[in-house]
Amino acid sequence: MTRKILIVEDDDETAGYVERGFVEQGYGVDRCADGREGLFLATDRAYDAIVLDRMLPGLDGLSVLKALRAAGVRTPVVILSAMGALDERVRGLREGSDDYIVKPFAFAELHARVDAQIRRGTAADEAPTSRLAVADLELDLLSRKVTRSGRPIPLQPREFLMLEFLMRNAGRVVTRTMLLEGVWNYHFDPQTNVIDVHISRLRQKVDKDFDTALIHTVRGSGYMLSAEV
Amino acid sequence: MVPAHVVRVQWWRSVTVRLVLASTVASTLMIGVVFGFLYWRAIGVVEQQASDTVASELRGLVEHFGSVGLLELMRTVQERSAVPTEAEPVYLVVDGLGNRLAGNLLAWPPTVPPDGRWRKVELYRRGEDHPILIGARGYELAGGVRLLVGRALDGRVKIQDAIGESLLWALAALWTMAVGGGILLSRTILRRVGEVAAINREVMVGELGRRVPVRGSGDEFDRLAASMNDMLARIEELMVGMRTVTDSVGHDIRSPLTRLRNRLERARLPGATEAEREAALDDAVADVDLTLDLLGRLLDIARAESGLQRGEMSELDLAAVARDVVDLYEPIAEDRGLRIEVSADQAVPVSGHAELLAQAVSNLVDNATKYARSQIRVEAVVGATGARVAVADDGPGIPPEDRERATERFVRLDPSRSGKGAGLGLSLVAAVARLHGGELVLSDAGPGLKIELVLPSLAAVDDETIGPGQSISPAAPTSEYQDVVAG
Repeated sequence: MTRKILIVEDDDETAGYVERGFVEQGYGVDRCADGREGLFLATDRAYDAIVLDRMLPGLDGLSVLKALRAAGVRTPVVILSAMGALDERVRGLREGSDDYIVKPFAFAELHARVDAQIRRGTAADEAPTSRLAVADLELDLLSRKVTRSGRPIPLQPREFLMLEFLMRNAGRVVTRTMLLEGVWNYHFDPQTNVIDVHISRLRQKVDKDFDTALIHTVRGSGYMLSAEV
Repeated sequence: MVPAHVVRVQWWRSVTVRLVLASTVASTLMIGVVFGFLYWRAIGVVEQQASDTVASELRGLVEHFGSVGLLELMRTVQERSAVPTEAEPVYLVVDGLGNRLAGNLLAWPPTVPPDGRWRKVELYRRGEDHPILIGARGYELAGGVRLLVGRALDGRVKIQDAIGESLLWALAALWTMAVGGGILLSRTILRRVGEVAAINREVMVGELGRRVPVRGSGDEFDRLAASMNDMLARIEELMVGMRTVTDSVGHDIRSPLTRLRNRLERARLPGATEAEREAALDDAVADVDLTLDLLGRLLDIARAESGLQRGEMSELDLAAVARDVVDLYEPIAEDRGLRIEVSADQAVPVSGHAELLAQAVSNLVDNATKYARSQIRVEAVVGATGARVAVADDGPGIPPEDRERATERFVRLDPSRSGKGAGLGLSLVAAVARLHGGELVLSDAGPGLKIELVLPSLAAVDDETIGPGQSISPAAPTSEYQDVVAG
């Protein structure tokens, strides 16, 4: 089934860039440049996710979002904005957005986040689970124990959180920023690529002694935990 | 060019004039009331005195009549009436038919019944138009004969005149003082307001260094001047900061952009191979990322310095912030052969911006991992001087004379390090410190550099609500899984 995405963005260049990106990834994309039209489309059709700019003609992004949520539309919304200050981010999330990306952004980052939101939207319907499993890797959320092929893997608390984050997004790209936000709750960019070192430690424990690697590096984007190479 | 209206106010709009007017009116009213009361009391006393005199004289004459008879009374009355005294006594004795028997009054005034009571009556002197006020008592003697004794109440008039005159003098003095004081006051105030306005204009036309003179008297104007000077200093600081940023941005953003342009030019040359183009594109993307990163950091600093984010401050534990950051940097430090030592077990409560503080501490630790030789010490303590996070490395350190400059934007003290970072790390930390009302202290770690982020502590007031080791950080809890992993 093709996933459908609505892009509400008045900058033609950016909208085109995002559209091309999603089309290449096999999504169906609708595009509009006006807040009112965006709101109309979003309430009228079923999208899997909406990419919403903040500054729009007609109706600004936050108002669109508010109206959507008021109308009971629960489609995941990722806000795209040049307003990057933390308070702006908080406002966006408070109005009911699911994620907030600051311009300029890499498409890989947007894709990963939209993907994560779509997945979260469907996962919310499933029963809450206390166990995550990918191939022979198992993670028990209650006892906080991780095993691979039945062998226990001792993890530091932070490593456990990282692995949990990767496993919840198994099969999808997880960017460094997503890890920083999801595991450390940091919204700034540390000057050094600290995340890479954390990942390589996690790899040492999860992949080193096994034939198949589960944690993959996706060039230019981030990481992916997946049974397939 | 000079907006004159700033100083030359129309007089009725002047606060001084209005204040002086209001106080003059109030004082006039008060003086009126005081003099009125005084007058009323004085009149009362004078009249009482006259009334008493008349009563005793009447009593005397009645007794005289009782002992020596009518003729003697008439003689006495006649004698007394003839003596001119200042008190202007009035006497009259009439028979049962109202005929005057003796005295200096022509006829019995009808408003004075012969009952011995004190009455006031206006009488005319012969040949005069103005009545004079007389206080009198009448008394009926035997056989319809009536006796009247009175006194002119002209003392009352004298008092009236005296008090009226004093009132005029008092008002004249008051109004003179009001006008004089008003002029003096408004001169003083206008001069000082004028001074402030003049300084403002100078600042407006670009002389940012001008300050309002403070006289040291500690009055309202001094306080106003001091707070204005603080504001002007802040404006100057921001302007200088802005200038530095624009200059530096001009330089630091232009160079990667130029580099980028050259790369793209080369890739476009006809002879370029596919591999070369690919490499040029990769480099171009890296250049753009670098530039964007630089911009982002500059904006971070600008936002921290603007103070706009004060609204997002909350109570948090600086020690937990430090622990989380160390947790983030530990692996990379280890990879570089460094050991991080943390002592941040006691809660260090501060009111702060969680994200910016984490970013600041992370910048400090990040710097330390770049310069340390073998170890980094991170410490979060609360002391008498405030809450502090200290990050010390055992690297080359910074000579004391350069420490001041280290927190400026785009300053890289070590030219050989110019490849690493944009030289904005410490200036962000300094900006965050300022945002929190704290400071950044650089010192010698012997060997190496010790940087302390000092913030106002909440411990003094909140000692009881935040016990040691109790985390109030909004960041993810670190200690929750400790036991499980250890076991």
